[in-house]
Amino acid sequence: MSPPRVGIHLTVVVWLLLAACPLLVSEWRLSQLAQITSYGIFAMSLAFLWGQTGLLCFGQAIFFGVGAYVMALITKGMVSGVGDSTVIGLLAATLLAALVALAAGLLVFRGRGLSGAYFAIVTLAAAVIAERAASHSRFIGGFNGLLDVPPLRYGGAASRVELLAPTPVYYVMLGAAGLAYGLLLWLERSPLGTTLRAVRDNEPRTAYFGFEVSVYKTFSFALSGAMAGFAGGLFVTQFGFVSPALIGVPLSTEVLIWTALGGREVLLAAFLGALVVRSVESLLSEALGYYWLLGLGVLFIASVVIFPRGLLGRLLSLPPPRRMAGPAEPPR
Amino acid sequence: MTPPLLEVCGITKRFGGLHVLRGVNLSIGAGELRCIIGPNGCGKTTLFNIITGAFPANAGTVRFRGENITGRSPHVISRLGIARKFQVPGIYPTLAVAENVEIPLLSRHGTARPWSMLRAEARTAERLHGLLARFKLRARAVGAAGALAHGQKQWLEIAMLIASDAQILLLDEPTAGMSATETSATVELIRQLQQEHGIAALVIEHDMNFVRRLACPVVVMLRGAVLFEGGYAEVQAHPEVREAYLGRAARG
Repeated sequence: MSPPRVGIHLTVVVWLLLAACPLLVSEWRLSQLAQITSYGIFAMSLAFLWGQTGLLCFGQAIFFGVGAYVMALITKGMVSGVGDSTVIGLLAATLLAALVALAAGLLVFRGRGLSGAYFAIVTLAAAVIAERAASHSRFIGGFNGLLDVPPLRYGGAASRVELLAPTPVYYVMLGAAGLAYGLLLWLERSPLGTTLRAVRDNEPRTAYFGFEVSVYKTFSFALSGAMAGFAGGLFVTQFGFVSPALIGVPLSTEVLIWTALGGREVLLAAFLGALVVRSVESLLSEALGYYWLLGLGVLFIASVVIFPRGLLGRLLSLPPPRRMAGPAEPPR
Repeated sequence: MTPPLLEVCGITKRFGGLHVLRGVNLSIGAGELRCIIGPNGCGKTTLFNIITGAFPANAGTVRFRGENITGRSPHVISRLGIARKFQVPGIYPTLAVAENVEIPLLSRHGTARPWSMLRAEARTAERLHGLLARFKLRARAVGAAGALAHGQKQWLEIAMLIASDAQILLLDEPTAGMSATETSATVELIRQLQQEHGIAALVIEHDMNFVRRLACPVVVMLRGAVLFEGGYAEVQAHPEVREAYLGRAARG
């Protein structure tokens, strides 16, 4: 029995189309798309946590926001002793978001730990707290946030070049997305990914096979946090501005909608969910005004009820890892 | 003298005012089979829950190879070699059948830490596909486990227990919902596992035909305690057991 290959073909086509975008769309759209790509990485971070490990997080923007703030602080030169390069900024954004998620994970998953709705509610509360805290911290600009965050840069302090032309910027962002996708997909299809899905499908059963489930949930949470932080760091280089809105409930809810609409079990579906919803939003929201939000809400509910795997999940889902098919002939 | 493989001593469990277990004693040696029968609500599944660490007992001890394991976490108890089959098949419905079997194989790989698992593939592949062939699941390897027929799901879960390198299987109604043919195949399977691999099994079962064919000592539980222990014929002849459990079937 050969598993359907459609998903593999479509996945390749999608990436080729994304790579061909500079030839297909206007420069202005391309720079929009570059920014939205960071939302796509953000959506993949949630898809890994929610779709693979079964942890529904209502506070994913906390990690995105931490990444964005750390990136802004470092590239604006507000943190002494670490320099202000893009690479250092991105590394720090990823690492700090991972540490925040790791600490939170150790706290909430300890022992029998939280799961299901309890976990979702705690993350929701955490997002509210994080947004308030950011609004009241003077060092990070309080309610107004941080302005004039530099764009992507390379080269040393003497000969620094800012990356501003839409096409190279887009390829850097797309490359980062490809990197994130490759890493998450590799993990997902490794035995570790199988174990995470086992936790998702039947947590007690997995514990009865000798797995300390809390370790796996914490690991997945930290990794997902790292990815969200990476996305947040990339985002501010394109947006040039970071405010408490990036860390709170509204953005956490939005990423949930993109991921659910695209398909939470398939990384590329979640990525496209973010790209499509944000692109359509920028096209239509002026014409539709508040009806846009209404329409998005209805679409979200419809997809949860009618397409629990998302609008693209089924199309883009890949066959099980090759090691599952085994040797052509039965052993012996 | 070597201690028994699994020894349950005076296990007592209360849920609020309800005495579910009242000092249960039970012992099973390596490679032995034992059936537990008893009416619904007599505490059979609760006993399994306590042995496997789902919740603590109010009193009493569980020993495995002489070591006190009372109150340890399920994952710790599992790693010692005690594997449990649930009454409703405890499989992973959305995962491929082969992935289902891979999980317990992975749990035996090192200390089952996330990072130790990335290179585990080469070490598990051979056993994985050997087990799938042994349990006649090879043709379904890449299909979702949730799509299997009920009897196949029960067998898949037993395959998963074997993959976990268990020394004793705790089977909670392994033949529930199976056809007569599947039931006798399951009896054969449990006997084979015992004879070929020396795996002990403690089986909760309602199907008296199954209990007769497994031909092993039978433990009769009633109202949270062990009422009687003996061979199938003795159990059938025991007046109290007939009264309490076999009831109408024994008279008819």
